[in-house]
Amino acid sequence: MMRPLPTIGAATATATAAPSTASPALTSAATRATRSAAPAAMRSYRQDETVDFVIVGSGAAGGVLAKELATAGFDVVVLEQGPWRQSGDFTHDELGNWFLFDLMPNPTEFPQTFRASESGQAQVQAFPPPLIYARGVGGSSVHFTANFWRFHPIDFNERSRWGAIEGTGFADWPITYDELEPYYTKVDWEIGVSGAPLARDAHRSRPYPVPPLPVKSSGVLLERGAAKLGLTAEPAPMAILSQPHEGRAACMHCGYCMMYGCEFGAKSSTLVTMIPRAVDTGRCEVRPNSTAHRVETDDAGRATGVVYWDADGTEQRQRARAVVLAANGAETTRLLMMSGRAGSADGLANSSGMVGRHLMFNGQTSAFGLFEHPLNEYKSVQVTRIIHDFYDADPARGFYGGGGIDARMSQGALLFALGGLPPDAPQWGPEYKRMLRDYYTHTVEIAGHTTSLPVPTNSVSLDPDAKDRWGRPALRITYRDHNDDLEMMRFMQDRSKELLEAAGATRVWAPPIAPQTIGAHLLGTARMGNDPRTSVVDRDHRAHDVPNLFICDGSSFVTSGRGQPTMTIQALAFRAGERLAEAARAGKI
Amino acid sequence: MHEPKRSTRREFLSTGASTIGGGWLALRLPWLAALSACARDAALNGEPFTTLSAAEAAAMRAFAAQVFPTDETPGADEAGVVYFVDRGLGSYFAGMRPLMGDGLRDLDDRARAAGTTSFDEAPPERQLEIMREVETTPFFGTARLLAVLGMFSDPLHGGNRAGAGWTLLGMEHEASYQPPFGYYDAEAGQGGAA
Repeated sequence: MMRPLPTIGAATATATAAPSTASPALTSAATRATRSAAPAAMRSYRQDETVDFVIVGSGAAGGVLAKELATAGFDVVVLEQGPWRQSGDFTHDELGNWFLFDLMPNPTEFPQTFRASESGQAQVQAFPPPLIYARGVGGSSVHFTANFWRFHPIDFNERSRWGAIEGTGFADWPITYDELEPYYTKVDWEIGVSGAPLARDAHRSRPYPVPPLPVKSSGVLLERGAAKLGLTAEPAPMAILSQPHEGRAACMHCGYCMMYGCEFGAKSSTLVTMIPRAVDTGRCEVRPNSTAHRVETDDAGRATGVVYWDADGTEQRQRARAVVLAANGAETTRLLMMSGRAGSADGLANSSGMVGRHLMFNGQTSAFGLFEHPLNEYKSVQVTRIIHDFYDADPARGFYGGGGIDARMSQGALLFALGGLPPDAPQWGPEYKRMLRDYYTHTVEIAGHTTSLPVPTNSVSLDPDAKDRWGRPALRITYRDHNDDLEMMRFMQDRSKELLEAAGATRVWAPPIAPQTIGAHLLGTARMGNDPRTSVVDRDHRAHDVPNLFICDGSSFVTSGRGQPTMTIQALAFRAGERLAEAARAGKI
Repeated sequence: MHEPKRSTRREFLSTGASTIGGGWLALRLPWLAALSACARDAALNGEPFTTLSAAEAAAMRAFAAQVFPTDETPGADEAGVVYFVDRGLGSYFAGMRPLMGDGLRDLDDRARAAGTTSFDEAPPERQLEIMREVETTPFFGTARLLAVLGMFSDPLHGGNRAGAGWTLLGMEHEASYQPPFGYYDAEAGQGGAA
């Protein structure tokens, strides 16, 4: 099964160069941000050339893997279904970014269907679609909010601590926080994270590279509320630069982060961090507008490459010695399901039947408060202070769950005007208009981010009827929050309301907690584990069933954490990159 | 060659606002008010419409002015909301065109049944009655959605002229800001990096 990679000898010679120290590649990130197209000097590989690794997806995980593997001396091709935008292409256009899917799969071309249970008939859910993610080089790390908590040690062994939960696949991770810590630190420094050590953090081996972003009024009010309630509000770790770092500029506080790309390159997306450095090795080609639709395997059960459509719709085939899927928890699932050998309806790497299952969104809750003076939350980054006092699960609550809290205002002008006012507010006319004027700059949201249990029937699968513009089956989402997840969301919203009252809100309102039908965290659908009967990949992200297929993105998660998964996705990707390189050099791929 | 289905780069939904979830469009009881005739004249300043007929444009303008009447702050007329709607129904929101055409015609029909020539020409109190009559219809939800989008979307889409909507909300509309951002962080004296 284990064949050596023919080029590994050459790769080993260059693999000792330490990527984390200043290299010529690092200084070019800022200038690269203004490029209007793929870099002219980028290495290109022929279709019939067998590269070392083909990576599907250029986002939070794929970007890191591309940079790590190319830096380690391997030949890498990255297939990205979306375009290669540059920082200068991004806009503050709320209609375009939130409603017209400028950065996301447009539901008219890429429909998604939703149902609450496996017995139901899935229906197209067009707006908002069930799964929120970006298409393009950098993936969702381009448009994400950039909250960047590390997981806590208990996230990795919570099943052992808490015990089994009926109707779920609640399990420990096959790795520990301590094993992942060096890679969290790599993310801090190589991706660029602003922050200060938190009282409740586990140990970290190195401080943050740049200090926290300036506190906003939301953060000050969260501190006030927390102090009154005996809680601790602390600086939020954010993947947005408070100071220049690695040749990139600091945040200009424009306020357009969540669902927007950063035109200053201050948000630490892989578009402006990992991808330029991968390309600058001269061993990585990123192919935008390339829609992968099948992983090919040979009769021995090994992956031989990836088949995709290029921008013109012409089918192309990239051969590779190993295939890495990092396309996000939904697209990775679809690709696996579409890659079954003839006669296999279960797809590829799915002898466990776990591909697509255990989808976890994290719970998201909101409570809103009106304050006497203007906060102007539309300025600067979303979040500057967080509370982790409720992170751990507590049997005294009577249900499983934990979460984090932050203060912010998620709703821009359009969303606030459409539905952000308290429930008894009019929706048109002079009083509506007066309330918009009086409330918009004076409102803060306390947001809760909570656990989602891994429920096997919550899933991504192929819709039997709906197709996308390529003729691929639409993503079908089956999802209903576990009752403990809903209890945790209610708990968190209650704490949020208390914090608003304690901070001095003159009015508090909150939408009712209900089962979620939308998720931006696409977790758990190809879970890691030591047992091939209950997991899809092993602790090093190698598919149990296919020795040269690796899967690393949100799908790898065993449990959901408490929201903010990107930091952990990227730590996993740094670790996976190292393990893949080691295995390849040792002839064990 | 695999031929993907072509569609407009930016296209909203063909199904109208009835599919919009999340409670974003929950309709609630109206608060009544009068219309500013002055602002109406200013809004229809002779710019041509590309999608709406003259009658539809007049009705849509009057509808938007009921959602955002001109008072001590700018309303839909100053923001040019009807031009946003005209442009949107010819592009991203083309799927809403039939529902909007029928609904705007219905506003005029109701006004004529009450003895005036059109919704736009109806006296303010009659316009308000008609708004309340249709308030729970899919048309109303869609027309209100478009009015709100036209009020607050980036001016590049044709509405929110001179940032009138942002001004209404109390936003400065700058490309970037420096701390302090609001009252409480200024008061706390923590404007710089912590």
